[in-house]
Amino acid sequence: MDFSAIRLELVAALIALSLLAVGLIAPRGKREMTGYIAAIAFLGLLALAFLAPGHGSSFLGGRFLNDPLALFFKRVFITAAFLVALMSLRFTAGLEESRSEFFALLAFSLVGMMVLSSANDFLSLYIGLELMTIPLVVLTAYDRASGKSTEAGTKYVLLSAISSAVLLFGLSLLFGASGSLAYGDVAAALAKPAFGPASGDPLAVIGGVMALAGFAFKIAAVPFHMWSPDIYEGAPTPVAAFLAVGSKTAGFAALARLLFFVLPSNGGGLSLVVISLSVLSMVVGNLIALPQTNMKRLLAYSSIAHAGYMLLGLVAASRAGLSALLYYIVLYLFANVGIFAAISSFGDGGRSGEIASLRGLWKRSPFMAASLLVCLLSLAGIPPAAGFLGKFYLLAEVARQGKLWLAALALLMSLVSISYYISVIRVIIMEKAEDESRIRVPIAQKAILALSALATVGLGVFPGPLTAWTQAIAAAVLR
Amino acid sequence: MESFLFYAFAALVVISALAMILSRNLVHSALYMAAAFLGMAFVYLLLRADYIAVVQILVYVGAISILFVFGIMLTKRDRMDGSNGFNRYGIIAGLVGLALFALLARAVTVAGASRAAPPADVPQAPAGGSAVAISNLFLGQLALPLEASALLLLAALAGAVVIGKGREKSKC
Repeated sequence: MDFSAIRLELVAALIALSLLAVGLIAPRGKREMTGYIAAIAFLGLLALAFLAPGHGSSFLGGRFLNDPLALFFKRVFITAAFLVALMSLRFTAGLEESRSEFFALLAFSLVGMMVLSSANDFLSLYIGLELMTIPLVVLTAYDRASGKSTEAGTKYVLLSAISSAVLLFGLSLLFGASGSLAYGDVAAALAKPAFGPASGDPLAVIGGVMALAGFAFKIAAVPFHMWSPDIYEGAPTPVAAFLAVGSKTAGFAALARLLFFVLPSNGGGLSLVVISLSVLSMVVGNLIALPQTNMKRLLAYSSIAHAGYMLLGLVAASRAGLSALLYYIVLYLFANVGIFAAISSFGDGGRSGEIASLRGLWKRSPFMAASLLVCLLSLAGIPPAAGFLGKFYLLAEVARQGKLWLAALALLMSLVSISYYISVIRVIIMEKAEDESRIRVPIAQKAILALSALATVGLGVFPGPLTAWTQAIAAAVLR
Repeated sequence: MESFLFYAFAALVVISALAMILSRNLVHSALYMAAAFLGMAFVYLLLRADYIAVVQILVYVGAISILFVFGIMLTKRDRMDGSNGFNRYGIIAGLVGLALFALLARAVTVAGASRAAPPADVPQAPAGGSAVAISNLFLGQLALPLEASALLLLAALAGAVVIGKGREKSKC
């Protein structure tokens, strides 16, 4: 048994447990130091993930894979957790109590995401999913001073319980159709001529659709998206950021593995389901984002639309498609974290998040306005920000496979999306603020904003290294 | 004999489940739910899953139903009328449920027909019951999910304390 394959998970779990312990033994006035410890620990974990990720590729007879794809997602999750921990320092400083548990729960959620991205059987998949979700529910309800936060937590726990139930029902049907929990055995059983979805084994088709529905909830794809605007709005801003980048990316990690290696999507009915999810998400997400007046709700709808674009990479189901999806995930991470960091720098810690509060930001904090601008342009897909190339890679691959109408629709919807991003930019630059005082941006937020803006422009201008890396991953996992 | 027992227990499950969702009194609903869980435990026994059957009785009948009764007692709402805001969707929900049932029933029958005939008799449970096989799996191949679920329980416990602690200025 080679424990180096689960080295990252072990260290992450150790971080979570230590943070709980530090919160208990630290003197009462010093509890905010858990936040700094968490940020440093996540940074160390990130270094470990890049320098010594463990050489073993599988654990426990292939039930747990540490392949390049899983490793890529783990690096994304750890980066997200690090940035969110930095972003949370200000929020937790305003809390009266339970400051230290916040970061421990963040770390537990991170472990869940890592298990989810490595899971190679249904049991690890489900436990990883719940280990990710349940701490997130608590974090969503963390702002005890705000009724909206409690409401958001209640909604999240109920809806994610329902989605878990649907997912479990689907997995149990897949288990019934194949007689095994391990991905390899399930794929082998479903690929047999009499049993494959292409030839219509109804159990596998219904099971696959239900499993897809469960993860469509996690990535907030239409029609399983209703939860996300309310919860992004009610949750503390750093938690909303973690939901938008961490939880969504984890959903894609699991979906990619299921669709590429377990459920034969090409030619079967399932690819039609994925296409419908993608089309609906792009259309509904972008159109409902247009009239929004709250920045967090706007980001929720725009992240629904982005889930639609990212699903295109799974629709393509090819090496280029997977590589484009991975590229998009990285640029989406930095653009979203940047915007959420900007919202959380406001006086109220981003509790309201009204777009009107951004008025005259150009004068009140030029640095924040500039970084915000770069991130918004990236999400809108305007060069030289990275979003343009991300969309280009996805659409080019879909078009190359002959689904021209799908690429055209995505392009049209992305043009629609430009209008609401531009209207936010107009508020930032053109409108006058009632209160022209300068905003004091906390140093952690400054660091995040600078990093996000630099990464966004850097990935757009020098896409070479990241593209080469994502292509190598896609070539390594898809034969 | 086995099929007679199966139909008897299946009827118990279906009737108690229906009674659970139709009853106006929440405490009655909780008791019907316990009865449905008990019926499921017997069905598991017929499938030679003795360990799951015992766990079903211990955890679901014994603990979860009682937890529900406690929840009803503490929230002091023992009638459906005061607690369920979605009753006006009853007909639509019923139709959706029936459609889903029809779909699943059809899928199971078609899939059952396409497979080889099941063995004449369900294999006997190994000596010592299925608990041995299950514990071997959990401490062997499935050790990682087991450990992850330990973390999950700890995180849930810490989270429950954070949420349940209330807002008054406490020692932390």
